[in-house]
Amino acid sequence: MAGRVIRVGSGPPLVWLHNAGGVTELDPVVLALADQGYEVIAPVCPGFDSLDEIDDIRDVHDLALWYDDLFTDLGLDGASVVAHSFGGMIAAELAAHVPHRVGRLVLAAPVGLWRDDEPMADMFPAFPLEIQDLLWADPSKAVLPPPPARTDIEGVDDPLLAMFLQMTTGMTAVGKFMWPIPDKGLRRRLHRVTAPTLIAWGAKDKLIPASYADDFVAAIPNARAELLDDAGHMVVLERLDDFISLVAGFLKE
Amino acid sequence: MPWPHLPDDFRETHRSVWVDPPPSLYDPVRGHGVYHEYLDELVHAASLGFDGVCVNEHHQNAYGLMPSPNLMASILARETENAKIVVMGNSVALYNPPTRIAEEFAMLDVLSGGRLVAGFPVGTPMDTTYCYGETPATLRDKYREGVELILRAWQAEEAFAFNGKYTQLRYVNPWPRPIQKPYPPVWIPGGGSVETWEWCIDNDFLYAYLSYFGYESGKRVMDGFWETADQKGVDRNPYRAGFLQFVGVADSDAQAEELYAEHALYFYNRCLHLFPGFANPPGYTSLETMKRGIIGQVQAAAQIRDPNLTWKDIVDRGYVVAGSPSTVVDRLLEIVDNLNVGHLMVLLQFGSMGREATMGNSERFAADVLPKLRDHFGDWEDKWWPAG
Repeated sequence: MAGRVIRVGSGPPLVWLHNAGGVTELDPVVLALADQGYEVIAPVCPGFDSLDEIDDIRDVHDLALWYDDLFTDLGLDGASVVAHSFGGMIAAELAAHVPHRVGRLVLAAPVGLWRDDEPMADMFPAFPLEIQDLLWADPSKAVLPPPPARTDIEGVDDPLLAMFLQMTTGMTAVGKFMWPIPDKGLRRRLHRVTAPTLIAWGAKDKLIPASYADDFVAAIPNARAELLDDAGHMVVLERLDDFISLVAGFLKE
Repeated sequence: MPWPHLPDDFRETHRSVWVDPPPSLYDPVRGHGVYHEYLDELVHAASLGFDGVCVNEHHQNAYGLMPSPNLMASILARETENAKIVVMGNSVALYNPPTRIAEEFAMLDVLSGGRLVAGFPVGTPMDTTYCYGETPATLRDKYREGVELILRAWQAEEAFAFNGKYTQLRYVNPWPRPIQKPYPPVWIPGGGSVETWEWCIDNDFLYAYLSYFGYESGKRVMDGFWETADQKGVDRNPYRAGFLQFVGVADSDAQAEELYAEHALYFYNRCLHLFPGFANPPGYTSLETMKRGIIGQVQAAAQIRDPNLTWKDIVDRGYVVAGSPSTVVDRLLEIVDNLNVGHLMVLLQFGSMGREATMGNSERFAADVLPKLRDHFGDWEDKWWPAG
């Protein structure tokens, strides 16, 4: 069982599953959750550090079981899990595959469902040059978290190229589980989720329409949704304080 | 095999020639004539004594109208006698199961009497990941496994089970089998991927670089291929390699511009008008290749998007080799020597070029250029070409 796990703060454990941008110790969401008195445990999704890691993680089932194994290693059962976007898909799959792993679940703008009448946008052609337009309600206010640190890109001196390579590695891993349409059967499995679930969505999400929140609420037995105004897909950063308050309140219910 | 009737304002009014161009731009009634014109041109070239005729596979685009090159190749197998049929090729990961290719290529080899060259491209990112929905992360792995399965299927003397990562078959036993033994020459069109060089050398496949941007862009790629050959202790037999080049032959350099400029500009300005977002899905290009900074063909196409491209630019940069026979011969010899390529594929039809100009170009090339190139590497044995 390989995999890098980032830990910040102290207190009861809270798992953060990151989006396609990856995660670092300096991630504003991680820091803000830690400030609420949690030990934030943020596993780096397999593939983000090296694509070799996902050679034999062939589909979302393998991926969900990889996280189940990881939770075993970390001694996590009935854990609180907060997740965003692609990480939301992983969290939902884990909670559907192995329901007892997840005690309370917060999904912010999760990937994983598809509607023909309101298809989510294709983020891959937008990467890297136009992706910010899709992610933010107001791209001019984009706040980029620091990119995940990679130290093992041999022979690359140019920091821009190194950053592009590490972002591409993450996007390649994400693509393995989302291509070409990120509907891998989650809707058929969501009825298995036992965790009380909060769905948070930016009302102005241009990547995945906020109406998908209704689909998650309908499919998960004990779920409710909160829409946040003036936020796009990056709702967790665009409305950081309000998102954290929502999460903190929900976890204490 | 481009669609020659794109509107003059295509660049301004559409984002991409590939993946999502509106189907209303295609007219199937005109398309009937277009297909037969291209087939006539290929049969004509075969009759002029070209060693082979090539067809290739692309999807959902106005740049190449052959989603199935095998359909065209089957016509050529019947309408030609001596020219080899070079299918460049079938994008292996797009065939489910890949044994479909083992079957169809065997049919072509049998139909043509052993004249098939079996090309196995990965396929462009547009064709494979966006049009056919293949996952970029696994595309190359799936492709390699498919090629392995096809070659094994052609050689096996009895049915076998194949438990692959991407294909599972309880009984692999294609009928018919190819005439050429152990199998037809295998050509791999590559875009400069580091891994592909090694793979071709290790398996004795021909490596072909299909360039629309002249031999200077090809130089870096072919140098990489030959350095790999050196490292692996393999000879520099030029017939291990192929290269693609636009060529326009005329009485004089000035006449070449009159005859071909409009069509070349049509090709570069409209047929390569590609939305850059479709050019490099994450995972299509390996990290190793990105590190070396080799820009794939389609990325280069996406990057040229130069609305002010002129005929002079096209010729000066070597995208098209054009001019009098002596100009063309000199230039092509310089190219094949510099790249060390024994198999030169010439594109004599490009963009909107019609039947008359294309056949004229072919005739001039066959009469005045081809004889001066044919034996250029005569000291080497060509083991990558059908013997029959």
